[in-house]
Amino acid sequence: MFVLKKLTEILYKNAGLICFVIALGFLFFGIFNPNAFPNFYEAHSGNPLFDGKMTVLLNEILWFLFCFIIMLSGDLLYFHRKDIKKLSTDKSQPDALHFCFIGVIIIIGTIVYLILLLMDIVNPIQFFPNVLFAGEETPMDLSIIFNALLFFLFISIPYRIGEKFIKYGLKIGDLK
Amino acid sequence: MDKERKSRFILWIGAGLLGTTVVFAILVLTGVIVPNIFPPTGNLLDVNPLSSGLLTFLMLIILIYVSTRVLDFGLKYRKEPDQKEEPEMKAKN
Repeated sequence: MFVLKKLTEILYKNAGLICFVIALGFLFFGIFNPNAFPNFYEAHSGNPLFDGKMTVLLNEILWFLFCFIIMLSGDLLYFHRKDIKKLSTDKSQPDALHFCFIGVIIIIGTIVYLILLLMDIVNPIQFFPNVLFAGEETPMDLSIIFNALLFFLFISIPYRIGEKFIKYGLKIGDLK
Repeated sequence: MDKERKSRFILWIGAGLLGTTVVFAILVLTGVIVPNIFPPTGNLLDVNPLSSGLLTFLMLIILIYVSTRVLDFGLKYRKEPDQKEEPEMKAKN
């Protein structure tokens, strides 16, 4: 139990700070190199003007959203590090530490996946190939918007659940 | 089963539900499970895949809601005073 507490403390303190710095790094890199964004999704409507603008815009938005989630996670972990120190290791509140540990593991997993995405190592899932809102004169492929939206929604689930584990862990430990 | 064990049991059921939600979300994100509730029609304006994805997301949100209610109940149950002990204490007094 003591080892688990030490490990959780170390994870909260260091992972929080490291995530925050990494997210800031990616954010500045994105601001100064707008052409270096990986293409998470691409529009294929056949209209070059629409496709070009939509692809760049959507990928930029996704990039900043991912950086924002990493920053939020780092923030969450770093500012709860003092609460974790206060958790007792005796048998009166045995689940509190376990809940906080599971929460931090889920959040770190999400962060690692997001970092791999930002570095273009992992490809995001394509929920469906094409939803083509076609007109005779202006064909528009809106599948890129729906794919990005669904991807962001599904990414937010592990983050939310990690946050809930931490919240309930602290509640069980009577710290909130 | 004593009260402490019961409350722990309820709390871990809530945690299990949350864990299931995470696992399902990860499987969808990695492409192992593809939400296909409404099969695609293949038309140009086919919003069936989008509806399937959004419905899956909403189902996961409902699971999160239910599991948080279970966790809340577990916490509340733990803090409630024991009903058996109270009459005994009154009788003693």
